[in-house]
Amino acid sequence: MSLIFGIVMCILLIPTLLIMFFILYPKNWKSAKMILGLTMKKEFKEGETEKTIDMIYSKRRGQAQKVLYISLALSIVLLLLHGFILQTTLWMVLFYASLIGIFIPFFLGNKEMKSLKRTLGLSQEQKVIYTDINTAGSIHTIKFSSLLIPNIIGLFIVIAALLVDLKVINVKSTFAGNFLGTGLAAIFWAVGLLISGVAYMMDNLKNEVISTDSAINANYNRAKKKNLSDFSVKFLWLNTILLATTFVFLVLWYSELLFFIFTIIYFLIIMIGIFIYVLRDKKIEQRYEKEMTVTQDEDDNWIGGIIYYNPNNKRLNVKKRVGVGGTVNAAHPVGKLVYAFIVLVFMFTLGSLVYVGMTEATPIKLKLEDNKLICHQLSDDYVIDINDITAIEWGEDVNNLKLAKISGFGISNLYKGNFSVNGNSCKVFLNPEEGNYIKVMTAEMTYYVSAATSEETKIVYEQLQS
Amino acid sequence: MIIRIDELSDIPIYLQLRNQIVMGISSGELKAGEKLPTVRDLALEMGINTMTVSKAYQLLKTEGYIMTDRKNGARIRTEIKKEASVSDANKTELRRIVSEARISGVEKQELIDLIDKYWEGGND
Repeated sequence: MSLIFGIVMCILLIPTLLIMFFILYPKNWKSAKMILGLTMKKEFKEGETEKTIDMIYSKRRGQAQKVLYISLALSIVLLLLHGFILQTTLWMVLFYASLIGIFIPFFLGNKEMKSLKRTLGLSQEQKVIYTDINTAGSIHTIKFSSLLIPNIIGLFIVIAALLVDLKVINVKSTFAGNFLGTGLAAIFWAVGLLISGVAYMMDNLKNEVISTDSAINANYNRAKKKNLSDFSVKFLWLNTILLATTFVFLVLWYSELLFFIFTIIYFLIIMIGIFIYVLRDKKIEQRYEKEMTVTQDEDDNWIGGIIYYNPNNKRLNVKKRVGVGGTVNAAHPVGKLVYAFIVLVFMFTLGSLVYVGMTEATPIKLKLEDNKLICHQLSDDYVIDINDITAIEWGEDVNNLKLAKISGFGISNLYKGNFSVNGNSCKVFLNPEEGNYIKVMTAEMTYYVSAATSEETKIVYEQLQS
Repeated sequence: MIIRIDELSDIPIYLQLRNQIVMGISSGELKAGEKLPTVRDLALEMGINTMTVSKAYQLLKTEGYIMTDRKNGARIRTEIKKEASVSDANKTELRRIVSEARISGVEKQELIDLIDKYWEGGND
């Protein structure tokens, strides 16, 4: 499991970092449209200024290169580590640190370039908006039906998975009823909806004005949007295929291994797709390079060249200055909410990792107090009144049970939460490394519990019997 | 046709938009009967309030440059009323421009050449 997770993270992190590096820091800055998030100007390529920029750029590119190499080396090291929680925690830390790390030289370089621009007297004196009246609101390449069909198929699969779990449709599946497949299918369906929403937003991005000729502007924007809509629709179909795979391998015929293999293939194809999209986008830029006669200097509206902040612009979504796709205007009320949400997700992920780490490190306790059986770890997880217990059974080996997690923890030294045990929904509080357990039955629920060691479990079992 | 709006200009945005559409009609970039974007589309594209675009369209309609209807949106009028005289407001504006040019030492011929150029639909 650790190795599969490591491979998935490698597939996600390594190509993402490589693509980001080559987009943010192209080898030859003089032929790029932007340099460290600033609009390219002919004055940048003259005499002493060129030498100064060369120095700034190579320093920042070198720093980013170091971040890239360190991240790649650490990814390999993490692949060799054991312990799921430790590995997950370190992967998440590496993921965030690498993504932030590769942006830091860009941010610093952007600051230096803005200062140089001011020194050269090239500061943005006018806030001019260019709009082509002939293309306004008329360039759309995405068809509503191309987004609707995969989402409808996805919805049918989620409903089918739900019907299997509710046992309305009977299939020979040990894990029907645990809602794991339905839950995951619903998540992938939600991802599909998200892709559709983003694709629609991107299709409605402001058309760029690159020339005084409306025909050139129209063709350029159509080509760019077509590339993006092709990628979005393929991504959506791929997501629907993964959704179907989830249904087959987690609902109809339970095989975690095959499901993970398909997940790895899914991420691999996405990364290849992003790579192709970026290449095509670059080709479009090259094709229209000579036609670009209008340049719009909006440098002061981009914090660090990455975050768009323009209170005068009523638009929410804008095209990214560097990179692919779009971003949101941080000065827009909804934009502020989006950024707040991103910060919350970031904090939640880190908080969850700390909580999971603490849970893994804290041994479980099983005790009898005040006529109650208490399952305690960081807090009291389950409190069962002795009078409610209808029967107890001693279990020799946890591994003989057919356990499937529905929600909670399922790591090497802890099974805790709602599980499907031999096809029945139960509550579990076990140390699977020790083996022995007690099956506790009440009128409402069945519990499978153990203490940190077999000896302690045995003591509690004897106390319960007496 | 490219619309250029300066956010820091003293001229209100709706007036800049109105002026540029008039210039577009005069230069032939916007042809008679040509459809203009909807208020919503243009406002969204320019990142400005829909009220601003609506105000500009309303002014152009009142002045007889465009016509609007619910079904077809806004279009350039096929028959624009020809007054064949310079309005008082434009006379005042032209006088201001001539005065400023004279104070700053611009030759009379230079100004006439500029008028010729713009008359023929030329741009800066």
